[in-house]
Amino acid sequence: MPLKTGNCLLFLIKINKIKTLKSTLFLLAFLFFGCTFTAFATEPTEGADEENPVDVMIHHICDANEFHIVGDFSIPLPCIAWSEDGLMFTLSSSFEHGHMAVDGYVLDHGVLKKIIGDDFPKGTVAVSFVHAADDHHSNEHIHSDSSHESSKNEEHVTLVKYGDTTYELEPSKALQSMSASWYDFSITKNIFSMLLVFLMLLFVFSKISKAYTKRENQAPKGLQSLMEPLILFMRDDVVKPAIGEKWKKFFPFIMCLFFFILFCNLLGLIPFFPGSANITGNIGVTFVLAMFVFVLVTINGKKDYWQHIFWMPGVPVAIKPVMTIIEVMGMFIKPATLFIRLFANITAGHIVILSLVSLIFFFNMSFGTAGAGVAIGFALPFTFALNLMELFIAFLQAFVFALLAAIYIGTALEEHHHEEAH
Amino acid sequence: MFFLVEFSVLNPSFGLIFWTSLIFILVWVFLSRFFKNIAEALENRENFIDGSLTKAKKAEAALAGLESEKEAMLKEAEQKGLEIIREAEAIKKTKIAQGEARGKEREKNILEAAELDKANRMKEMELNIQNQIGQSSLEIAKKLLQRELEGNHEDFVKAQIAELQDQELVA
Repeated sequence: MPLKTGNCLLFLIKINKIKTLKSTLFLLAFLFFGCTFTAFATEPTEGADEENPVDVMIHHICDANEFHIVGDFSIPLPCIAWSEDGLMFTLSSSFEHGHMAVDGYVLDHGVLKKIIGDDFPKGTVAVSFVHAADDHHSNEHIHSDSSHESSKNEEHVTLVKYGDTTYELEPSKALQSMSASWYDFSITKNIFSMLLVFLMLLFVFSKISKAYTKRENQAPKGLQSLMEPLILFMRDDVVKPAIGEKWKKFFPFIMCLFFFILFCNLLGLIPFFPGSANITGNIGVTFVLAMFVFVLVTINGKKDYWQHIFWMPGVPVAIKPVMTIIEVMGMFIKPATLFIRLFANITAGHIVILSLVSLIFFFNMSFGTAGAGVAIGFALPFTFALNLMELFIAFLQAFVFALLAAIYIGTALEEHHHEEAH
Repeated sequence: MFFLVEFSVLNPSFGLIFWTSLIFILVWVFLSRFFKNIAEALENRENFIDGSLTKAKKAEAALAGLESEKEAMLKEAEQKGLEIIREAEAIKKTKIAQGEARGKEREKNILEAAELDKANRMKEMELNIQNQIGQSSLEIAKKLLQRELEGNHEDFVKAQIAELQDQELVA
């Protein structure tokens, strides 16, 4: 790829010229090349032969029960499932990428699913996947439970064949499939990455905290001086002005929120092993974070806060009930906007980058190698630019989330003087 | 849009929600300590810097004050020295004048004494001379009398004694 080498050289020259931005640019270059390389590395193996790039793309964004690294190699993650039959614990490697079923569970495209059917054998057995669209009309042995939601979408049902019998699969209990009979408590790719973020945060901030104690009243040094501008910015421009006098009480929470989201965002941008999980691009994660904010706001709401919600002072009595409805809705909409904004921004970023990379494969399918070459020509610079933008968005969204959380807490704590307000 | 239905990022499992809550609580519990410590340390450092700056400014001002004080003291000392010198000079002059006056007086006294002595001596000498002249005249008178009274001095003495007796009787 002569274009890439050229880019690389130009880039290196630039790096030398702008010394202050050196480390940042290096990181970006690293991200950019890393992204393209892994895209090439993972795409063919994942989307083996018959799979189309859209599926691969969605698969990249979604959570999974195994951490795919390169080729057939993936990090085994613990799979923990709990159903009426009891607890199932195993490593994702024992499923052999979907070729094996363990105690009635299989990995469907890296996602743990339960096989419906009491007669399915316990223990590890070899199974094969059948696509419903291909043969569900002809197959009479389908073991299906018509009450299950999964069977409504017959067009896209994936079946598992063991021996002569075909079985349906059931996803775990989730927000959109509440009727499922089992819970998935596995350490998935996202959860693994979050634990990684937790350890990273623990390492970074214990070190910094120690440095502050050790180098008391001295100028920051090393990692400490890298993080101090962020900490000071968050303290002076977010926590203090948004919360007011009691900022010290909520400072740790806002900082935890900010750095947790930031680290998750940044880790999601790295396209290979420790990264690549779309953590904050999963609505479950952002939902939980927003719930923490909601609970904190509700617990800390002062008299004035509740008065503003239920009987808005300073407006005509006729309007008050309307305001109450709006304000009560607002109580829930506020945290909802928090989690939707973060989730949508991060997911959108990932989808756009993956789409650009997928273009190469679409072009390859339609126009052959030459088409792929052309696609590489424009997909690479765009991917690079989007990675830069994503890096900015990683910081921006963490900041926005923390800022709004601080503002919501601030309004809950606020005490007005009603005579002049509104 | 069949894939949106199975778009699991919009359909989080309970496990994910459970684990996310747990992990975030862990983050909160463990990092709170660090952030509290950092916030405190930052505040302490800011106070320390502010304090140090005001202290430094105060010290600078104090130093400037000391300098001017020192200068004033030096000036004062100089002036005092000059005054002392002037005073000493004045004292010297008066002392000299006093000494001179005393010397003159003594000279005068000595001269006076000498003159008195001289006058006394002259008087003595005069007296001596007078005495000697008187002695000599007595001698001469004696000799004259002897020559004149050769032989009849008895009558003469008797006459004399009688004269003296008359004088005494008169007295």
